[in-house]
Amino acid sequence: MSEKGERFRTILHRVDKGILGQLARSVLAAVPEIRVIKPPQVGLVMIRARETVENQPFNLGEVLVTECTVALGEATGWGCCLGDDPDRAYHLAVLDLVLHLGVGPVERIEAALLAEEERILQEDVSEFASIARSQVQFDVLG
Amino acid sequence: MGYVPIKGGQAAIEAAEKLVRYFRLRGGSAPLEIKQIQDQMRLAVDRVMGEGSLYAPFHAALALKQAEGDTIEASFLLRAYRSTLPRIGYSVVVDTRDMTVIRRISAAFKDIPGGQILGPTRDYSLRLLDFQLADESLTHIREFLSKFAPGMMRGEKIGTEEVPPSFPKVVDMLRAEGLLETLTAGEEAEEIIDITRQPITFPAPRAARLQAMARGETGGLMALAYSSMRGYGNVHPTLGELRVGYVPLRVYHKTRSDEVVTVGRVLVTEAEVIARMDAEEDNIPRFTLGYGLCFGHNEIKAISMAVLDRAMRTGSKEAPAEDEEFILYHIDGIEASGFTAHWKLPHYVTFQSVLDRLRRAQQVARREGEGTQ
Repeated sequence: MSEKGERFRTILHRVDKGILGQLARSVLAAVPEIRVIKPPQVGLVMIRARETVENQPFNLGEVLVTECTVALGEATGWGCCLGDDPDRAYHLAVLDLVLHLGVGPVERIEAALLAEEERILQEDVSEFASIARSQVQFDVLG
Repeated sequence: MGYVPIKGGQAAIEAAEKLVRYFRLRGGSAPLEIKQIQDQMRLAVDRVMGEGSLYAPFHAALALKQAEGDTIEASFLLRAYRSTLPRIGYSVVVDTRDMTVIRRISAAFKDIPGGQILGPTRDYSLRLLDFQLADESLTHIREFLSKFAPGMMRGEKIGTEEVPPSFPKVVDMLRAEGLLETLTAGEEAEEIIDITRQPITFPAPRAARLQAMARGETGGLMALAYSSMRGYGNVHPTLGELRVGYVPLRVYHKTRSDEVVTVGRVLVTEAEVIARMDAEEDNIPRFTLGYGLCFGHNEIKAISMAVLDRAMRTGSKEAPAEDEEFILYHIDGIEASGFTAHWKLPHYVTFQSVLDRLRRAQQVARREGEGTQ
């Protein structure tokens, strides 16, 4: 699941909130033993960037995030999202856990995430198409 | 006159706080929604996030509402809120080559790989007041959106268009041609200084300088950079590349530390200025660079930061912009506004002491004056 897992960890942050909620609720219905070990809490992540003059990393500034940890037996799932959004952090933690363990309605979740991946791609393509309209076409005079 | 402790003013302060609310609301207009500020005052929101050093669009918009549009006050509110929150950790280092670009221009070359993409800019618009905006309605907005981005609005599949590319950097091209100063071969400060945890000492590590400027006040950075551009110092910048776009915020998984999780996307502005030629140890002259990066869409700030970065790298302190201690101590909006505002607080005792000395000095001067006559 590692390659697919990485793919999901890259797109989960943009999965529609409603769909994420549905998926998490279906997991919790199927695996009610999942428990919250650290409830959603807002916190800060310092974002680091690499500058291009001397190739040095530096601290650009902090980003407000919400994180949550859930567990099933010894295994844990962690969710972290932008802003103050406890529901999303909790749902992400639940999905992280079941995708890692491969329990619950994993096939359904994976299918839904792949559909979301496609939707996100189309959204990006469409957004870039509107941005690309402002690309300059130079006419050389003379 | 002796020291006289005083207290009081509590009732007046409470009444003043109510007056703040009253003056914001007495016009009787509909309450501003936070989402409206986030969407339609996006550059103010970006500025507050940058100067408050906290990427939190909702909270920045709320702060702007509370501060009645005063960006410095709003960034103060945001930074104060930040100080109440726990630090979860540091992100994976962002490479801005991975940016999803919404704007990208170069003033150095006409033809750059990927092209010049203007994106949302007013650079080529006349500065005429648009009175039509005074009558803008939801109908106008919907009509515009349905024409401008029909696919996006209806969630249609478009199919044939391009997947957003990542753009090669102009400085990478120049570097490949040997026209730029060489990179310090991957030498990294083992511990990246974090000025929210450690005070700046001078000479400041490069990471501290960049962090301080990234959270600097736009106007302060601009004024100091402008002094350099006008000739106090010797930086004549050419904008190698300016880009605005989203970079991924990626962190290591909390419990499985070999996994990287993308938490979201953060809008940033990046500027790279090419400045004067310098010869390195091999005596071959090359261009030198200055670097700017800040939260949100804030081009003046990123360019000013890049110009000051280059000015401070000269190593001389002949002009104010070249003196890192001078620059880094004066660009923080919250520190500067706090110190400026503190003069409003009672200084009754200190002023009384100055007054006593003045009276004594006047007496002495008069007595000496009488003596010489």
